[in-house]
Amino acid sequence: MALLHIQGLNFSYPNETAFALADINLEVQRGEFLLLCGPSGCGKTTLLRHIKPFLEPLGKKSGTVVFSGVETDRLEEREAAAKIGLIMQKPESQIVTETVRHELAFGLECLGLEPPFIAKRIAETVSYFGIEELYNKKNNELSGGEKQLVSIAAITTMRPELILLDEPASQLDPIAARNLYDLLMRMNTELGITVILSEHRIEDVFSVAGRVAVMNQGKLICQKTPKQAAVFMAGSDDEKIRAMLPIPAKIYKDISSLATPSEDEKRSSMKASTSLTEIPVTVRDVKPWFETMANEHLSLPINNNKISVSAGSVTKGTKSIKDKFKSRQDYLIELDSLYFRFEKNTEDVIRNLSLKINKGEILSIVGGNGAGKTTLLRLICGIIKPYSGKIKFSENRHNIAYLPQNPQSMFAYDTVLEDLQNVEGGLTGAQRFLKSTGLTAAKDNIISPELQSIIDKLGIQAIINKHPFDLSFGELQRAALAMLLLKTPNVLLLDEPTKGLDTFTKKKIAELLKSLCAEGLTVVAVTHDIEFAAEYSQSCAMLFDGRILNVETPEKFFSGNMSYTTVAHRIAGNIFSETITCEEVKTKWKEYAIKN
Amino acid sequence: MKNVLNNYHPFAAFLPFAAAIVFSMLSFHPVYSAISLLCSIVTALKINGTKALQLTLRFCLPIFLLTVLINTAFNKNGMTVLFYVGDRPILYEGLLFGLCSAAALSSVLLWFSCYSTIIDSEKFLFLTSRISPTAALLVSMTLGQITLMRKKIEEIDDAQTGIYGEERKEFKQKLRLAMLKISVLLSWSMEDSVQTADSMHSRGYGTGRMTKMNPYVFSKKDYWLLSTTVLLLTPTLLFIMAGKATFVFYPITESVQFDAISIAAYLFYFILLALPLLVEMKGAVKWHYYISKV
Repeated sequence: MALLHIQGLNFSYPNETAFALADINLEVQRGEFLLLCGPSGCGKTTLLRHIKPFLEPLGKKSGTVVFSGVETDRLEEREAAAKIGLIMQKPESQIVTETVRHELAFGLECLGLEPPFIAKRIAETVSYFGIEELYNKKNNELSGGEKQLVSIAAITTMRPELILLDEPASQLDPIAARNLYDLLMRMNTELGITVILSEHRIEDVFSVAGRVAVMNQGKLICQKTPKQAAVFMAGSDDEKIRAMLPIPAKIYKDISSLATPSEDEKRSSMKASTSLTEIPVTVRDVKPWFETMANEHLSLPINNNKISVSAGSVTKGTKSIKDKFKSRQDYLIELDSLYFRFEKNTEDVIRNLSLKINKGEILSIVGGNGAGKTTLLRLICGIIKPYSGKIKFSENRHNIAYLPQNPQSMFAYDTVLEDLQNVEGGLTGAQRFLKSTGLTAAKDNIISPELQSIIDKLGIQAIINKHPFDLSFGELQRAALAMLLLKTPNVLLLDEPTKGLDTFTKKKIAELLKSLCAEGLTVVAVTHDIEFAAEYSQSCAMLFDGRILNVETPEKFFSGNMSYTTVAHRIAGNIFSETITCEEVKTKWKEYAIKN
Repeated sequence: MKNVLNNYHPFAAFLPFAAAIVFSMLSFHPVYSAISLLCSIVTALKINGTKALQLTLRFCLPIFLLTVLINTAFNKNGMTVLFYVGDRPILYEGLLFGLCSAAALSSVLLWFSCYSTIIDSEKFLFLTSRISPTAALLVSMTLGQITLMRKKIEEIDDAQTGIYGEERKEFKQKLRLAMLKISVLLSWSMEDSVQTADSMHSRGYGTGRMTKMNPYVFSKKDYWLLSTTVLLLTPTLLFIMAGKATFVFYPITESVQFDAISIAAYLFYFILLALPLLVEMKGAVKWHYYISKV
């Protein structure tokens, strides 16, 4: 018997006609690892909340959710709490108590278990998770990743049979995210706990999951093995679904369609993707395949050392970027041997950091956790001051805007529009009074042309009358960008601009940034997201040990690295040097194919 | 360095400090105040180290001096004139009263600093949860929220500087910005608390009687500390109730009594307040001896 059986589940939120969930049929076996994916806003959270008893949202529901033979509404409250665990998105807000110890005990205390029993359960769980060093800490001392580990451990103490995770890693950096997934895998294989994981950034978990369920617009459109699901995604008509495809699979699909001998390229790609029944999704599978293919079709040798062969034929495009890159005379900001520390007797966080930032470029600064990336942005922004060194601007008029990691901290009013207007110069006293009395008839008239043009540019017309907290992360970020652009900055500092975004939204934000750059805006982004840095920036810099190690074009920066590089380079790097994105792999392949 | 008292059961460690704080507030007597001030300074130095020194010099000393100064300068309830500043008489009674209250105030501050090192919030919660688990949970959540809010305020500060830069210098604008920040903080925290509530609910909160985990063991050393404290506390309390800790300042200060009973009262009080220090010293000696054996 299946552990979880959902049959004909329909759901709509109050006052909305559209179904948030439409005809969901899902069966999850004991011990399964199910990945639930789909673009943001597709109904993943709503579905998970229907599985967790007593947390389901208000609205109109039909259909049944059966958990080990019993309908979830009829489950005994305490049993339901213990057997089905739920982990949510934000590490901070789902932690209830002050200390790790108390957090681990909380669920068991709620169930009214006896203290000695609680102590034993906690000891067992702490040893299994290997979090002894966290046990005596306070929750506020933990990093986001550690908080999520504690949350999972706290649920594990209750001996759950099913763990539901609602985008648990979206607020985490890639390394913490991977730790989390590893842990889930362990719990799944060693303890036999059934896992349903919802994610929109699925690169890391895709191959790990036993089964992949794809959702879109409230419907469950695919339930297959990862490799089969990759075929489904590749063949989807929806751009958002196609964007979710992991990069190895994307390369596999593109190259196999290119390699198919056919006159009409378009038709052949269609044929290739429909005729495939499985697409490999890991670098491990795709890399040898790619190298063999390149060898057979393009007669290119599999050789690491022959970098110079292809380096000679680097496309003109990259060359010109490189030339532009070298001219560091046109810099806008110069950081001259900065030093910074937080307290008098601590170590320097930033030491001897020098960097020139060109005008009109997107500069990505990458680096590990705690390397001082955010600190660097705050220094440039002037929020904190270096104790030694200088920040020079080549132009007198400079206006820096800073987008923090959590744009939520920028919104103060009930609607996005009000926030925008406030930045623009604020409502007049009379308007404010009218608003407070509820007489907001004049509201629509006070959108200035400048504001309107920015709203149009960012495509946020549809959300300006919504409450900021009702927005998805991507929408929130765009609204935040609009606020910043109203100040007509010439420098835009971004802290982890792609955190929590799905691939499609990421692409849209990145394209927006590019178009802004074309208008002369200088963008400095610190990020963990290597793919973003590789695809969209003009130069990349590495922050390590408190200073900038090197500033190079993304092509140079990422090629030659084995681990600190893009997935595309890991796969194709041995054949095509200095190719770091899927598109580049494709272009190079075509070039060589023509040559042959 | 971890203190010896940290390893004691919360209740055993709590009592001597609670007694010291309460008695320091209750007693208004030159000798009592002097004992309390002396014990609190030494204990704070032992327990908190340099942090205590900073607290004493930066905080307690100014408060001490200010209290003495104000009392001496403005107190007119005395008879014995020390000298005149202009037309204003400076009175001996005022000076003594000022000294006493300054000592009481400083010592209470220092005792609290010791107390908060030894009885951290978790131990305090454990103590209160005996009375009411729900109240204890509430306090625990509030304490967690305070630190979280501080972090949020920092983030909001950064974000608002990111938008507005440092262009807003006028007072009125600064005030408006501050209001704005508070509004952000409130709505953000409320939004998060919805998730917290879900998290509590999903882990079975409100499904019935709650229990409280007990990570502390009441051992022999706790028993000894507790019984010693009670043995010292009872006579001290009796002495204080008998008026040994009250002192007549006005109109003319009485003289400090040094009869046998009074001396006994001072002695009990002194040992009671020195108890935390003695425990710490004993631990230190024991450790030292242990190391030399190794």
